[in-house]
Amino acid sequence: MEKFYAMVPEITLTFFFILYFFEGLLLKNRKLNGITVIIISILTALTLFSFQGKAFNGMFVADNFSQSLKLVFLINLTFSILISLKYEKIKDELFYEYSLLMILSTLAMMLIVSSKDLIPLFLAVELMSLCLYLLAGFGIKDLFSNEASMKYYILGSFASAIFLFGIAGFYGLFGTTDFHGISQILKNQKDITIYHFMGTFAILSALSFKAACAPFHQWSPDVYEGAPTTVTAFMSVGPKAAALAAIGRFIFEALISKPELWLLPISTIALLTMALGNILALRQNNIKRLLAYSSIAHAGYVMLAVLAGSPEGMSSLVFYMIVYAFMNLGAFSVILANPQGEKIEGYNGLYSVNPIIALCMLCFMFSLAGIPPFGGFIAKFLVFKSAIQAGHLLIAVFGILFSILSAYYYLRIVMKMFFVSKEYMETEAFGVPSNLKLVILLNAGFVILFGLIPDFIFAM
Amino acid sequence: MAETTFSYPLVSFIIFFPLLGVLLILILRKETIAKFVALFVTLANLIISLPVFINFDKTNPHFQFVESYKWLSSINAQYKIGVDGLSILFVLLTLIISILCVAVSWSAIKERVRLFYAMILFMETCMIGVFCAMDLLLFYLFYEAMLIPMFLLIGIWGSANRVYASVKFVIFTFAGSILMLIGIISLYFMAGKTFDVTEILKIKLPLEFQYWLFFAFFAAFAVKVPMFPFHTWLPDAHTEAPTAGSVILAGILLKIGGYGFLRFSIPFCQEAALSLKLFMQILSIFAIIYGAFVTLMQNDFKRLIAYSSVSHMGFVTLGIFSFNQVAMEGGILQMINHGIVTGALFMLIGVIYERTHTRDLEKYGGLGKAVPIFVLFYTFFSAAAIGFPGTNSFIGEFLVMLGAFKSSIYIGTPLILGIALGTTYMVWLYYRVVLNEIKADMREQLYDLNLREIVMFIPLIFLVLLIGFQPSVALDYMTSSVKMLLEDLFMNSALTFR
Repeated sequence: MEKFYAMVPEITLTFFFILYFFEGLLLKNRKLNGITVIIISILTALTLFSFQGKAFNGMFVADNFSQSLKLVFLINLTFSILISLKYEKIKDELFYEYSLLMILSTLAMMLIVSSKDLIPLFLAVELMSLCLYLLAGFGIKDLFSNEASMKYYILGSFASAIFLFGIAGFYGLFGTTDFHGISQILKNQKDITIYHFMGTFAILSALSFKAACAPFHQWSPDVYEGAPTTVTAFMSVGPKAAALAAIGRFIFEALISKPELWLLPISTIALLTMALGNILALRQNNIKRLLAYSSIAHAGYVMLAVLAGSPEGMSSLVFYMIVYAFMNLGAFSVILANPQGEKIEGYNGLYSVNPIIALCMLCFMFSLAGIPPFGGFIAKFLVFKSAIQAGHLLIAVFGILFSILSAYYYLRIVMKMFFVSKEYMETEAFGVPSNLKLVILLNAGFVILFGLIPDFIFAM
Repeated sequence: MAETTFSYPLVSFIIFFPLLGVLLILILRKETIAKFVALFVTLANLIISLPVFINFDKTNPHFQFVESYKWLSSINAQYKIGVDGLSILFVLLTLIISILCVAVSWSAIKERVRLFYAMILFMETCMIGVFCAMDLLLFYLFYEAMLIPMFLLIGIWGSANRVYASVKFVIFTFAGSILMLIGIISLYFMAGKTFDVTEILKIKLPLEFQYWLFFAFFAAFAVKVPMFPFHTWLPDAHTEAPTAGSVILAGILLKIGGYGFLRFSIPFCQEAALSLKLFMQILSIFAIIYGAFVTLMQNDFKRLIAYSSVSHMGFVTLGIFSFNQVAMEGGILQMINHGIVTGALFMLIGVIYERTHTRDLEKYGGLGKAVPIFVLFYTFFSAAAIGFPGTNSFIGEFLVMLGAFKSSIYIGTPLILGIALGTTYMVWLYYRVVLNEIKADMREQLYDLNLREIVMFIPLIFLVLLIGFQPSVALDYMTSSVKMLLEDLFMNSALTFR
């Protein structure tokens, strides 16, 4: 039994998943089901840090890196369910399937960050993606949602095929798919052939697709816009973190000894992602699209941490994803809370209508822009620090220059909320459901807390 | 002598006391109470801070009242604060200006009153924090956090073109400061993983790195000062901001740039600063002359004063980069003076704008007959802005000029033109506003100052005359710190250049 210790959180979640599978069949009560899922995810989170180690001959590993990211996924799951409790686009009778898929994809993400072998990694990525394809189409009668699902599915399958191709190439080169084995063999190989590059490119492109990094980002604005907002919130945090972490682990544990193999592709991806994400976000009038591009840009910053290829880089990646989860989920909750939330005009004069929500949105926006005293600043700071430490000063400077652009589009929303006077207001007074209020306030609190006392994350 | 501590965390208390006021304003949901809370908090903060000024040891050039706690221990960033001769006067200036900002907004702000005063108090926390931070990351945190309240102050309560001005302000400042962030991170690794200012000072940085670092900091502080050619945000921001916003901008924010040069750029990059001396001096002189010429052409009351800031701040940077005791003290004193005098001028404009609702100088004229008390104050502060003997600016400009001539006659001579132009635009402005005939449609709107308005100018008059007649009150605080700065500068660089 001992070899399963490392997997206890996953086993717990699977066990609860099966329980919930039957419970949900009998009771079709939305509120009850939602709360059950939240309890499940909290209980799983409690097991995270007590069990660490390896399983299946090192194929599966639970270390600080993976466990902290699993915490991000469970936070993501908890908040995503919490904000969809009263969301109308998800029908009552579908909520059970919806939450089931969310748990399943969370489980897949947890497996992704723990995989130290390409085959289980591929399986986990597929499991996650299949759930997401379905989730994106959960606005059953909404054509945009259907389109999003279809688009995501077709392009996603293509990426998976490329992934498999890369794995095949690696197996041909090294005779193993295990990260440790690959790194051992790679260390002793003198010359690097075109096959090395092909395999690396294929795997990196597939994972970049899942993380929505440029130039594989085209699907994400359409899917983010079309999918139900709660699903978009869920997708913009968890899967992105999982894919970025997978890239990070793959590079750090398998390819670290041969930087010439991955340095150029990763820095190209990082630069392109930061540039395109920030430039294209400038003129978006749909907030979900805007946040889609902004999340592309954020993936670019995280790529800088991957580029560092150091333990500091890995820990800054984790910190970034934790903070990012809170600020992004917070921003999406505000979109949900505002009845006109998808259009940028819907924020005109929000402060006069609902000051608390507007102030919280201000926190999220400034945090996303990386302005202190919010968590986003510390996160960005650590990422840039790790990149500069590894000697990538020039790329860091470019990243910083592009992030100046980001200040503009985040401020645009703040401008609409605070500067537009009441006459131009499209939003009427609205009440915010208590579940959304809770999520928004909690997230704003955490974003400020991470900015002022970031030490307590490191303490974990 | 070394760093000294104090029996209780006094400086922290001064920094965070206004935040308590913010909380209080947010808890008390009454709009009408907010201004009383803000006034009480700012006044109380000044009184609380008195022990700092009483117990400050003027002969000790090092940091005093130091507090140091762990903050982000994984990267060795500390919560470390203290004051020394360079920063103590700015802290005092911030405390005074904050009170005046509340007073000047008393009847002008009618919308979203709670948010307004909360932002003013938040601003006070950040500003004092910036001047007291002894850790680079902490400094950066306060420095950037200031953007948020300032953005809202300009954007919500500003005049017609406020949105453009606020965004321009934030983008300019953010762009500058984020380049500084790169500098800070690089410095962190060069200096052996520390953000502590006093630790970094002990380390000798390679010359090439010094140049890069100097320009990284230059990007942030030159925008903030603002030095020519990074000044274009300033006229917009000053003009569109509400009176309190303009006062804070002119009074404190611009000074952070000059303070940054003194605290970080020069001590960290000593050789680089010395070899860039001429470059910085020429930029400063350009700002003085160019700023004065542009000021002459303005037809907007506030914009005119805003452009005059570019010219005045040129004196400050010239004083700092002349690298002698007299000029540097003059530069620092001139920052304080500019904060007092230009702050007062913006308050005067705010007061008159509340009555006339226009800043167009074409519509002004003959105020001398209509509002004599206003004109009394206005005359006084105009004279102070020109640098009339007996006022504080006279001392400041005189010291800077003395030091500039000491540095080189070619640097000193253009200043005469600068001062002459300065007198020209202020006198011509005076002519257009105070003398002349009063315009018909303005006559009914004008009424003279009330008691609150008179009271808020009195401390400023007192300060102008105090520094004007007894400058040692202010200069004594900074002498030893400036002396140490310059001694280090020349001693270290002499070693390398030899």
